[in-house]
Amino acid sequence: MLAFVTLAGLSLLIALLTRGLIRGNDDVHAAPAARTVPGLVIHALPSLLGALPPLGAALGLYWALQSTLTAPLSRAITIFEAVKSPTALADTLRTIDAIPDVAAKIKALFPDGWGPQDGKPDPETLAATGRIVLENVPATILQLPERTRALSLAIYVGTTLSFLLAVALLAFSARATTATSLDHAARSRVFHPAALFVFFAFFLGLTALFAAQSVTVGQAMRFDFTSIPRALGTLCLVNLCLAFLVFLCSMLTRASDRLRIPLISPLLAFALFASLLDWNDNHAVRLMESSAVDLAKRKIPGAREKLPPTAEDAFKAWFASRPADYKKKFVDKPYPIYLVAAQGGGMYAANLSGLFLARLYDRCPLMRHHVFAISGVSGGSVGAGFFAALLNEPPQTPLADTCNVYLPADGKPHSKGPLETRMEALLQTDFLAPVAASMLFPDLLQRFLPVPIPAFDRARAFEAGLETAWDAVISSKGNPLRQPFWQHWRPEGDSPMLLLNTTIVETGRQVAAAPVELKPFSQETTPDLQSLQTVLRLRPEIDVPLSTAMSLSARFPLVMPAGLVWSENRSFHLVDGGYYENSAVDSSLAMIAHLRDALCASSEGDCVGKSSTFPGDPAKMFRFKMFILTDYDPTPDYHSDPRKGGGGLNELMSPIRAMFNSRVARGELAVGRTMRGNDVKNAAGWVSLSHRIYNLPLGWQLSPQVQEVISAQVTADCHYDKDFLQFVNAFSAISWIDGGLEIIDAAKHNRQPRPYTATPLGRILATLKTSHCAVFQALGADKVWAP
Amino acid sequence: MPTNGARLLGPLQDLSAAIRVTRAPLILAIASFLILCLPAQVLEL
Repeated sequence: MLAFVTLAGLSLLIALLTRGLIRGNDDVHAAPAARTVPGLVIHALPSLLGALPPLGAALGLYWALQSTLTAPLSRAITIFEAVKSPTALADTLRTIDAIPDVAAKIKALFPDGWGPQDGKPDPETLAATGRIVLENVPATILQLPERTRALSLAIYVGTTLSFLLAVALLAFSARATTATSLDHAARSRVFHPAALFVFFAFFLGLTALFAAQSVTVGQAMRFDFTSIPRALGTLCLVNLCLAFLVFLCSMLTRASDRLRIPLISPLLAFALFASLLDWNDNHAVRLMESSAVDLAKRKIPGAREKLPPTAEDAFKAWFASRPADYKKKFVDKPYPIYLVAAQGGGMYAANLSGLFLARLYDRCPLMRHHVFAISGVSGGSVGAGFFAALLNEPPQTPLADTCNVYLPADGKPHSKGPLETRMEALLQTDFLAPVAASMLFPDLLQRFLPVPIPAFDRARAFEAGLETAWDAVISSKGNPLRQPFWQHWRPEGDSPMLLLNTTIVETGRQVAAAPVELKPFSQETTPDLQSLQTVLRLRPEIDVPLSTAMSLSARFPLVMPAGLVWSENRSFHLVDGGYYENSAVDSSLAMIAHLRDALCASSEGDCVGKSSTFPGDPAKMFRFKMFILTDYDPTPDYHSDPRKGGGGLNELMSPIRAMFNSRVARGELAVGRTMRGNDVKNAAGWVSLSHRIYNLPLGWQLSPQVQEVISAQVTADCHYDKDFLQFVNAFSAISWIDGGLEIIDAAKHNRQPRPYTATPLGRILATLKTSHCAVFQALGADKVWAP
Repeated sequence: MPTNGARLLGPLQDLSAAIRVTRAPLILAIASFLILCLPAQVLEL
């Protein structure tokens, strides 16, 4: 509502200012020439310009709906409609049966033989297939058709309102052929010194309020300054910023025309010059110092007393602190050590890693004896950071050595545990509005100032947003996001070690914020992953706060700035970890390789600990593996969406598009190699988010509805016994239904049916099954736990 | 008496002057249009 009101305000302001500028200028004689075409244009110009923002908003909303309703999603919706109930399935099968020569037509759709094995499946198999679909596809996903219809309706209402606003403004202009009260207002009031004063006071007031977010970052405050932009909303902030810019620039051009000296171009030239010479780079990364008492706690007892500890010392201390009774289970078999690779992708990736890990530890707390580290990129780091903080939250609830990732016999999924409930609430916070407020007001003003002002840094506003989310959901006392990053991990603790990946602009290399030294500092170029603290030569007592480490990993283009750090008289800039590799698989593999080198007697197979490494420990053989949290979809249907192609401005944009897309492709390649390549042996399981089920938006804010769709995909409940065999057998019947639906859809849209290499329904079911049962399968295969 | 040329050019000169004096709101209104017509889903507005 506020967004719509500010949009209308922006629209009227543009019209008013344009009219004021025309009427106040002696060179323009619109009224006498009103009967000519140019005269009409001049007359309508204020309304035409005023109508542009609501027209843009109407178009934006319409395109938003189009970009949500992708071809794969529309296909998925058709499928869910067709199978969502036994009655719907029976109707679908009847419709498929009615297609003439249906068996041959469906067979032709599967040239590689992956189709139905023996023609039409028998009624019993088809009935079992219907049951399997209903059991394996969560209700949230089956309800997507209804949810999408509700979303479409809301968007159409917004589009219509915006469009009506534009039309109303144009109609007003068409009717007002003579001087109106608007003219009078435009002439007399809009450039009045009082109006000027009010505008600037309002702008400076908002700038100060939004800068207060960055000033108060790192401190627990009585008043939460990030709540103001969150209450206003990002669209309202965009409208307000545009209104100020329109007013300011109109003022400047008016003064410039009267004084006959240019004002705006020198201002822009100065901003460019100041940026060129780095005068106003205000994005210095926050560093904090630990006290000597805290630092003493950081030392690992019995290790080399080195600070920071090395990764191998940390691993040994972590393993030594696992309960001896528990480790006895692994005297004669490898002890699985899991690393979690949490990919980037804004809030959907944060939800993927955060919800998956929270639910996993709620239902299977013994995993804390096996998950040694989480490697995160961008949004994945945000979810992982919150997860580590939740596990360290005092008073800690003692976690049991139990596990239950299996769907209960009554078929009802487990209820949400405490970690998941709090994680959901944390991730429903709007992290975009604080950044947008800072970017559009203080950080924009900073571009025209020659001295850097850290309080104007929008990255700090993002960090303040993370910290205040914790204050609001958990508690503002002892907020772990404000503590030094190294404090999130202790060898005897429950929290896995965080490796939050970021990229150094000057070298193009990936480094990870880590509580340990991954490799000693070296001047040589090495392929090994190094810690951020090592590369920057930070003293052990200096570290970034946890919220800063999360933000450094999550600085995706334009919205977030590059972080500036000085090290030995040289500046470095840090950007999103996804620039280098967005899946976090490579950095997880680097950590595994490093630990293997340091701890294992041989480089292949299960890791037999070097004889001197684990004296007195019952388990001495390890198996290092990764859980991969990803949105990688290897099937061609998703990639053949025509809306993913082209885009114009080839000369300028192709290099940028190629670099942007290759960073995603690079991550997909790394994940692909764990599925069908050299890295298969290192993969414990994949938990996938499918854009085929819902086109997940990239941003720092996610609606509860989209969170539910993500949550339904990453559940740890698995339905696995005899049903699994039925599930595999059902694929023949599923391809029959898929083929039939494709023929019906093609006839409806007057096109040729497309031959398949993978069936959409089959692919959705397989993705969900793989994700739901990833942990169950891995724990079974590694003999950790079985129901 | 204005000539035909002046009759034609006069309004065009007016239009040109109007565009010149309103260049700030003109450019920013177009910028607003372009910003707001980005798919809102990308910005999650």
